[in-house]
Amino acid sequence: MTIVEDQRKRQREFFTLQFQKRLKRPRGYSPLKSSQARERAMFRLLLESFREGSSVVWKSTFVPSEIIYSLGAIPLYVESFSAVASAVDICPPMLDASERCGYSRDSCTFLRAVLGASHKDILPRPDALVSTSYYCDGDPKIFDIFAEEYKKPHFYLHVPYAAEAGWAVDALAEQLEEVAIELAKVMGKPFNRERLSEIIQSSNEARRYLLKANELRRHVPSPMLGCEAIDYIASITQLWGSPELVRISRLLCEELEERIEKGVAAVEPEQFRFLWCHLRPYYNDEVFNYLEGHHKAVVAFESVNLITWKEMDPGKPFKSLAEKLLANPAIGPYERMTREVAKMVKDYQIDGIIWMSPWGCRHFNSMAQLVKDGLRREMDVPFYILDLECIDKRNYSKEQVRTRLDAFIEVLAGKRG
Amino acid sequence: MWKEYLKDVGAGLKPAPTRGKIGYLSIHVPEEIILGAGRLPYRLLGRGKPVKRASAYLPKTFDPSVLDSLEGAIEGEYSFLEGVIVANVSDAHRRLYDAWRVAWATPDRGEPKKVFFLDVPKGADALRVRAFSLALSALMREMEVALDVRISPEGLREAIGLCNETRILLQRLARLRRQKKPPLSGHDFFDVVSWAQRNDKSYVNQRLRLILQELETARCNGAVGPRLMLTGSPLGSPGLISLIERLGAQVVCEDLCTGMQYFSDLVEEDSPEPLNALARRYLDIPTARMADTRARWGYLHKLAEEYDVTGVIYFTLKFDDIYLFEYPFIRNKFQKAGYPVLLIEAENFLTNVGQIETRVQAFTEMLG
Repeated sequence: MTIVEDQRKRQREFFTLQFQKRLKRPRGYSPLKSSQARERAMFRLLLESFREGSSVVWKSTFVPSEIIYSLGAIPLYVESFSAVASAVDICPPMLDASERCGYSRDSCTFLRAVLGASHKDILPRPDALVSTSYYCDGDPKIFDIFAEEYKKPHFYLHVPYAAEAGWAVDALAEQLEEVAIELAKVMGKPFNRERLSEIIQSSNEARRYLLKANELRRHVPSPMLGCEAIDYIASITQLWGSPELVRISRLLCEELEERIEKGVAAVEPEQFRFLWCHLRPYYNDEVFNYLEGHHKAVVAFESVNLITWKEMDPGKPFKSLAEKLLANPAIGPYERMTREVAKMVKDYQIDGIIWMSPWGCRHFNSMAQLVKDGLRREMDVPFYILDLECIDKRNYSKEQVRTRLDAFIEVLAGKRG
Repeated sequence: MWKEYLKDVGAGLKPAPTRGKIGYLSIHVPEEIILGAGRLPYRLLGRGKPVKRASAYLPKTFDPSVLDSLEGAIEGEYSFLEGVIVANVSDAHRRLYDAWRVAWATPDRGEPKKVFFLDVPKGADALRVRAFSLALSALMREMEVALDVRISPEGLREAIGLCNETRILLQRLARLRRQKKPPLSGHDFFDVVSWAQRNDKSYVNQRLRLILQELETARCNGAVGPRLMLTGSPLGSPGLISLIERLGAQVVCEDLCTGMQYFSDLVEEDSPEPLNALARRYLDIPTARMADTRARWGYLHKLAEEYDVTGVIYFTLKFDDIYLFEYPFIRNKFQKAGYPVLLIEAENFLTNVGQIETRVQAFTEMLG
């Protein structure tokens, strides 16, 4: 596959056009300025990664962007490319392409869409690839296959399952340092520890703002719609370490404070408060619009916006990044996740939990029933496992989803009496 | 005649009278550690029956072999075990650890047994080997406390020697299948390997020597039908192999964790750090879960050449992502190297036998 700059330019133009269409799409709400800035930043990152001369590192979900930014490269979280593609409605041909290659329709659509996009060669090309063992089996496997296809190096990080064991942090920190040094070699420059420390400081600053935003969102009535908040995916966004995330998160705090001060509620009158676990359907906003617009049931918080790691020490960047990764409640036994969900229920005065369960996601689906049963032993909060696809709109049935949500809302209403 | 040697210990389903058994599911779990703890390693290969109660814990869209194991635990079929080791070899196994603990902790299921966990990296380089050594060490400490034993370096070295001998003997047995007419079928070979994973190693080694004595001197003239490699998801029973061989082909090698992967390499015996030696060997097993696709393809290609196969059957269990993601890449590689490939996707036990039979038949006719 030889791609000339002219084709890359056409791809940039194509995505710019799609982005503009996306921004102009009718929405059921007025987005915050910070949300619009976030969306623009994400698209800019994508367009930059198409530019000739850009160094692009493909990363899986939990590879710290901070390391990649410190090398002057662009972190391309390829699964977020699938989400973008779904949002601008170019995903079905990507999925079709992957299925024609032999990938099973039973497997993760995020990964299949990337595989299809790679086959159609519409992805920014990587200079290197980095994957982690978490969340899922698919990432390291397909990253290694991509590395073979693109003839680029793949670095793999093993995130210890025993996240709370004494040796886990050091074992992971060593690997992170190794990856940083190896990536620097690929980029043809020495690894700059001071630069990474600066990036860590920037990451810390954004974390402080986003933590504050999360606190502001505890307000009743909620100052922000779940529909737009879930797109921040604070726990995994590839903007960590970028100056844009500091600006966006600061602006978000200011806007939320202003709303609370002025008594502006995301949903009026707020009937119920939901906790949404997992990601969202990216092909449309219908589910959220129906919940928040029709039922006045606000998604007060989302598990993907949870920030569980402590402030990092710029003087110990790798140890700090290792601690950040290991603080993820999805790592380790299900009790860790149950504990965090219970905390979110209390912190956000949640009436009910919606646990989105896409067909191909083994990691998240498999935790659903265990967390549900674990919570039941601790608290009385209705928990609904919603089978819903994130990427593939071909499997979406509006009426079916509405019927299920109606039934769940009835349960909540009945419980309230 | 040689099959008689397998019968003394039966199917290995009865508990050994003097030593407790520790179950394990993945071949990335070092049997040597179980032996070092004075217990018998017992590989759980599945029940091959429909799953009902496991679905109360885990989704139906899940690796069927994992659901099958959980069902066995819930139904009390593994009550003869003193404990079980679940390894982090896939998303499904990782969650099985949770579900198994919950299932065994239910009061009506008798005294709770210990469920151990072993974290296994997907890479085999120095840092990943070190991480795995730490995980093995943590497992050993946990077993020592739970079983009230001490696992000594000497005990580990002795176990390494015993298990290496099993591996060497099984390697010799496998090599017999390179002959134009192998002295044992793929089905028979599967049975031997399964048996070796469930019985006392000293006894297994003694019997394997007798089996080899007989088979290495056996005269087998002629040739078999199409020589096939079977690769892919774990097979708990030889049902698929029997089906293939009934249709005139022969499975002469299998890249399965229930087949030749079990004895793929030896553990370094004179290492001053037996735990590191174990870590290196158990991460070197070229299973599909490992992230080194190039090494994996190299291993598969070498196997196909050494065993002179004419075609490859790639078997995947439904929802077994590792294989579902690997398949197109490996298929393309094999096809480019001139080997036809047939994909079979199925449940843990063969439900769609007629359909599979027709496809295998067409494939073997094409190769014939």
